[in-house]
Amino acid sequence: MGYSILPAIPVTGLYMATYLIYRAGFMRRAFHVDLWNLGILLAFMISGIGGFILMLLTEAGVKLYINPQLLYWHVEAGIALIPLTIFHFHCYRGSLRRIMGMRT
Amino acid sequence: MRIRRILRTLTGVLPFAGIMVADVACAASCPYGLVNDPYPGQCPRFTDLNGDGICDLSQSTTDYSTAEDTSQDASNDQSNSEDFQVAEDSGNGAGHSGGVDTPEETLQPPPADETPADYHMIPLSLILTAAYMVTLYLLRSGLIRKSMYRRIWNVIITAGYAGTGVTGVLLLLFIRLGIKTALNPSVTYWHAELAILMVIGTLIHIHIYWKQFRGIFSTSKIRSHLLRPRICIC
Repeated sequence: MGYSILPAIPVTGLYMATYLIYRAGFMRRAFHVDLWNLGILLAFMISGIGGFILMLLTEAGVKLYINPQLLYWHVEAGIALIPLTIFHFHCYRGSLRRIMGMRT
Repeated sequence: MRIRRILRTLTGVLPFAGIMVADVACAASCPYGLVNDPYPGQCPRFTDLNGDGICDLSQSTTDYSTAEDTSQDASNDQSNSEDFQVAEDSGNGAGHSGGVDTPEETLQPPPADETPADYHMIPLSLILTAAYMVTLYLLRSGLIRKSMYRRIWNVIITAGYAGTGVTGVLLLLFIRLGIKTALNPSVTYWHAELAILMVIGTLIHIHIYWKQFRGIFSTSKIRSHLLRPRICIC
């Protein structure tokens, strides 16, 4: 099973779509932000928690049947997590500027 | 009542966990338990000393053979013919970058590295949790402001995500392009270390923004989003 960067493409497309819908006024900002917070949570659950479990198993030297599948989905969800993190920063760019010391 | 419920849950889960652990796959020494992982492999540890196009770590010691033996094996049909081609190429000095051209007589099975990888997962998680407790205590005592407390943890989580993301992309490139450098093990190590920071940091982030997090799953909020659109198209 080779890894592909495919998960990042629909994520980017969907974010652009919901952002345009929100900018057009057909969707509330809170809904748009909540939707993508849920998205990043799901990707984190698969990639982050999955990777954590994988690391725990690797560290303990435990080899389960699910390990290869877990590794595959850890990478694929990780690929989706990269644009999702960038979109999360985009949603909270005001807070990000404050953290970085750039006041608007 | 609560303890009894927890015990009931544990008694339901533990037998299944026990069965899963008992059914441990017996791959040679692949830490992920991969079996016959073809080039370029699924992890940055891909090692192919015999040039058969299959990661040596994912091959069991009994399956370990030279390229020609593997190509003649009827059980590995189509993929094996490709592997044989790769092996022949590597023999002619035009092998893939993932393999090391070694004379056949010096071929040795990879060392059975059964030592589990040490990523200091538990100590690092405990240190981060303790650090969070300290900042929480400082906040509650009024020694630091809420904005400072949030800023500290937001910077930490950003560092965790950025580091994990960059090292993850590097690993993906290494795997996809079959790049083998001396840096691979250290990139894997730092990917794991920063991922611990990322995971623990995310859990802390959820705790800091618990009210907003709960709001995502608030049914009344979802209902208001769906039933009352902001603009009425009349």
